[in-house]
Amino acid sequence: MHETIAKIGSPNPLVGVLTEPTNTDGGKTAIILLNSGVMHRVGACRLSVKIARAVALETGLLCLRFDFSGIGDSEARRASGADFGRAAVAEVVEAMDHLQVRHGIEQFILYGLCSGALIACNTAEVDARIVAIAQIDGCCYPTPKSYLSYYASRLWSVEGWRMRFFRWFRGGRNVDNNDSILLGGKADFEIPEFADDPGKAAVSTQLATLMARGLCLHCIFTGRELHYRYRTQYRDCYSKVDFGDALSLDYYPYASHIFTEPVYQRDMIAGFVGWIKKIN
Amino acid sequence: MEALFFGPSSSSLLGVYHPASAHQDRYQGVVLCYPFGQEYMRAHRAFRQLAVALAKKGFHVLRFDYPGTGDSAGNIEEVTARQWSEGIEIAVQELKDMAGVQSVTLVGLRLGALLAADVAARRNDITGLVLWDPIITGGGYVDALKVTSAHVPSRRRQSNFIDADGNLHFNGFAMSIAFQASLADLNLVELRPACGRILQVSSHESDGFSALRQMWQCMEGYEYRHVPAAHDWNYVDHVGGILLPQPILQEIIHWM
Repeated sequence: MHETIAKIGSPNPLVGVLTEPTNTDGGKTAIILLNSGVMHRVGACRLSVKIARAVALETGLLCLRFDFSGIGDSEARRASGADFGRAAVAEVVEAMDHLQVRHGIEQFILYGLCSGALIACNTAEVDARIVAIAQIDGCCYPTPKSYLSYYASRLWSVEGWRMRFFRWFRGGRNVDNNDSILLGGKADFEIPEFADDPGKAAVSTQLATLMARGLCLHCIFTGRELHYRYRTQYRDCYSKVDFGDALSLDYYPYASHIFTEPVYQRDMIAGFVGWIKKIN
Repeated sequence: MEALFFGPSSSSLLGVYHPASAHQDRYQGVVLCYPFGQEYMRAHRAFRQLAVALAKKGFHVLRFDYPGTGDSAGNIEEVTARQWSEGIEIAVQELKDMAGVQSVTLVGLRLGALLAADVAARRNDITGLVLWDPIITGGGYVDALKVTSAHVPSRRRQSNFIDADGNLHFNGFAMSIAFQASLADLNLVELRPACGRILQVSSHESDGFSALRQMWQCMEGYEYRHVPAAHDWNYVDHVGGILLPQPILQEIIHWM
């Protein structure tokens, strides 16, 4: 395996790193790892680097991780008026064009965490070269079962009763230190620019289109997403979508949104690589 | 701006070179030294802004990922602070070769500041040193991380803990026992970097910063600035927010 710098497009090329396996299977599929929020291409807790290297070593597929314009090491170049979501989709298409011209890649698997997941789905909607998507904490909405689980757990939660005590008897919010730091020092912080929530109906329609096209989907959810309460909630949420056997679900109820836990990082990456082997 | 891999082919380092503005070339180099772990993630954008501003001011700037971090080769579990210091030295040489500069200023944040001072004390081509909220002792830094780590991971708390082999896991990044050992002997107060100019810039007051200031204030070329700014580098929020302490960035740019 070796890694090289990728410069995508011009002027102001997007900056990325290409992980090329030593023993490539000569296939025509590559994986593209997308930014999450304003974190640069190495990914939260270096996840994108770890995933790229594991995939290249174990599957022989080429991996590209790159920065959207204005994020990480890519210079800002968005056309005036283009919102982040639309520009990001155009830049993923540009990255695919780059790999197709330079490396003969014809099919792509996209990976995204949170906002990256949303961009992956939106890109797949407009570009049929995308044959699979792996997403962490993508768009999902509560179901009757998740509501039941959520409120039942709150009823038995000591922390929940502590918060209620503060609200009812102390007459104020129980803001923790980190929240107050965030609120107090806005000028020194930059938080991700998220695309608007597309809404359940729109996601459902999009998924139906993608599934009809034969796209494979690997959805990973963490316990940080408070409204995601059980492993198969995604399937229940979009019950009208015919996923067939194209949907794979993984659920880590005790993992944080950015996988700060080494044990869950390892499990998640192993699951991701296993899924790639299965579909490729 | 030019992204590149440099250094030994078996352990190449990812660097981003910002050449000096053609109209204002000062023929001087600057190497930026990142902090550790989650702090690196939160500092990346600030370092990029600092590099761009310094390049506009006429400096040739190189920022790079230490071995086992970012896009550089290796795994964090398999490196030591000694290798990070060696990485700084490789970066200094790379910048000198690439930009044709003879002298280099090191700018380090937190652990990066401690390592930058360590490198500066061993070389004679480091003519400037900026210590931004420096870690004063390597051992103290490790102890501070350990204090907030649960020693036995539970099902619900798997992020911050010390494993059975003594390796420290903190906010998604590992610090091996070998890395901890390599930090143990590093004490900023005891170092005597022979730089022409040194800036210690602090975003907040601390006993460690005061001790360093007291020890170094008689040193020729030493300056201290207290610039109140955000400094919770090791805080992890669930959306990947990052820090951009503009007052500090402006102070460093102005001092340079």
